[in-house]
Amino acid sequence: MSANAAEVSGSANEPMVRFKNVQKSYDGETLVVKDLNVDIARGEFLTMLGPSGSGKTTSLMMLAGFEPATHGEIILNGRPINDVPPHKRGIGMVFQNYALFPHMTVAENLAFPLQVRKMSKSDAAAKVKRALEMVELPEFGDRRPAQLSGGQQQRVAVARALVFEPDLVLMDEPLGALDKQLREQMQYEIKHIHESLGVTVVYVTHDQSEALTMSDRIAVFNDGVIQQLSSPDTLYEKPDNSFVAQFIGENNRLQGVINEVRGDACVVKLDSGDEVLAEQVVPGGTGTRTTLSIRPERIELDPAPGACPVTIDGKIEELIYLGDHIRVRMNVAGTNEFIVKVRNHTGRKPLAAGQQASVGWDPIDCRALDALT
Amino acid sequence: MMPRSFWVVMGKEILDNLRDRQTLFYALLFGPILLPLLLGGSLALTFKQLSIDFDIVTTVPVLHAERAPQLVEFLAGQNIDAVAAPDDPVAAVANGRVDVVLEIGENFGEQLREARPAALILYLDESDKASSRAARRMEAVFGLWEQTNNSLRLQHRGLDPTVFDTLELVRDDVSSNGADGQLLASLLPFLFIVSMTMGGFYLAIDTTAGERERRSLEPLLGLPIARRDIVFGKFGATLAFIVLSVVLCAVAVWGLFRLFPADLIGGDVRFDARTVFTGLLLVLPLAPFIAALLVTVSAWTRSVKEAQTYLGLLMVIPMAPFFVLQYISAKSELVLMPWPMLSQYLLLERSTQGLSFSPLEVGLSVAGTLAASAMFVALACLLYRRERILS
Repeated sequence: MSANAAEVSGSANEPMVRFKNVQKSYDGETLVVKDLNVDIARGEFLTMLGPSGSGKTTSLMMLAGFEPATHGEIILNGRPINDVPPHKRGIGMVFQNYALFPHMTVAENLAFPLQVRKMSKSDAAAKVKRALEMVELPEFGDRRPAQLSGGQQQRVAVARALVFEPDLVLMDEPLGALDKQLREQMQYEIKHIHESLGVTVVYVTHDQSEALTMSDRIAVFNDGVIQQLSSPDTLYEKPDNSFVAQFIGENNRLQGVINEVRGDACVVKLDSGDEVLAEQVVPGGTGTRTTLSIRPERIELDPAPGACPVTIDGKIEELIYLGDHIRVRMNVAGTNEFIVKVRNHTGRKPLAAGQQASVGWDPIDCRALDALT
Repeated sequence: MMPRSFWVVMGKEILDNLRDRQTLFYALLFGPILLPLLLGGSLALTFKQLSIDFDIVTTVPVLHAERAPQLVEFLAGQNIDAVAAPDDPVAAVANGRVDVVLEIGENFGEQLREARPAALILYLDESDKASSRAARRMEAVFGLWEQTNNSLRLQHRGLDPTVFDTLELVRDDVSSNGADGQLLASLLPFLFIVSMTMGGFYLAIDTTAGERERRSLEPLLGLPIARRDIVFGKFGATLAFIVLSVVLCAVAVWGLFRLFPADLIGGDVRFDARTVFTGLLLVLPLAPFIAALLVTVSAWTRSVKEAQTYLGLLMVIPMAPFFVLQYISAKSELVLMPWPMLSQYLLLERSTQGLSFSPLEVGLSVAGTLAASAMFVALACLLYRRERILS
């Protein structure tokens, strides 16, 4: 990677980007980003994930320099950049709507950032060629953006962000305008480009599957606060709170009160009267209200006696055939939105709506989180 | 010396818009060429249609021409030859087969001899321009014939024909052009200013509001280019289109008045190469002003639609000096010279009419216009520094 204006040689252990107590308010009263503290390592792929209005794009825009932080410090390569204008930060950016210059050809679009950086025509042409090869569009240099499909345009946008070899690339929902199939294909392509170039990527999305597929770490945003910052598997397997459990993947929720604490586990008395064992995540002792979170694929339907430490009786309400698995909606512990995913394999028990069936799980897969208000 | 990034941005905007058909149409075809043709051409054609050329020999269908041989002979002397009238004169005129039909009254000769008004009927179609023009020519000729006969009648009775004239009013228009010439003289500044505004209109919208709407402003602002240079680049591109537009307009106006000579209208208005070139030089300082104004308004708006609305309102500005001058007397005064558009309007009008203007007036016009341009460019730079520029 070449040097950029804002680049200062930082040590290998030092984070490339650091948000330090960063806050952002547009009106001076309401904080849209509240006390953001994140370190992003060199070469990392970090995704900011969250619903609309959660503060993820604002955080990205502050890093890009398009929006100033109201409070706190943003550090890039060991140097505070709060007062450094965006054009001096040397950051590549990719946007949802491609943001290509419409009347320029693909090659001209790619050459423009190099031209601005006073690169000679021959060097620029070589870099454009390499960038087009990287995104597998070597024959498309003479086309205009309107002559390309959405996926091809987004590839050009990615190539344009990378053509001047920045150390840091910001991507703001870059796949949001693409259809599902193309989105999935592009996820892999972006991931591969990241891996091959070793560039640091900060990626913003509201699509959890996109975040899980590509990221080294994911910061889940809600209401201007990072709810959890973890690797994709930790985020899915061990959500820290009900919001994260609900936002990442599918999740069954049962409300109750902690009846007894047993080390890291607890016994929860559900509102239906059933008692279950769970991993205790929510702080507090006996009497604390909690929401139990269990992933649908971790639940066994009609387990053999003794096979599961926890079992509750229920009733099948609806069956949806999804090919590789059957999605079973059940009435369990007072909720009729309890979902169980049953693997579709030969020899599985026949299921029918209205049928009485028990559900069971390992307490390690059931997390006692903060109570939903 | 402008930094290299200024030229890069300007080049990008010019290239971008040279490939945009809409911008090209409005900037280089509609404003500078089609508008002068439509406005100037239609004005010249209207005057041409309204004017009557008495030297052109024409014919008029006359019903019962045998009842007024002297009148028919007089008409022939005025280049109007009587021909046989159609059977149904009303239908013939209504259908447009003939422009007018003259019917001589049954007792025409007898009435003339008895010094009574002699009856004539002129069939015409007022809604038809050709018929109306033919009728006006006939009426003018009848007026002449009537005047001659009246004088003869009075002389026949021993009276001086001037005995009924109590006043002898001589109307002497001291203006070089008259009202028609004045109107035509105001056409040049109007066309120049409109074509300049049209020349930069779509480019200014596209380079700021359009770029923001396409979200291509972020990658541009993220490049190592100072925002001031981005504003100057966009301003420079808009300015280039405006200058090109007004130069094309000058050529179009010069060509137009080779096809439709201004003297058709009767005023002493000049559209020769020298006058048009002088007008172009006088109006050129307005180019940076219009470019700065368009870029500023465009930077202030949030979307292309909003920019079109506000800049659409700006399109009436070229007409404003015309109306302002109706209220503050048409005389060019020094105090009006520092005002952009107003001063150019006055100077161009005077140039077209062959009137003089002082170097002080031109200097004030240039200085005032450039100062206003600088103010708007500074404002555009401020607008580009706002956080809201991307929202």
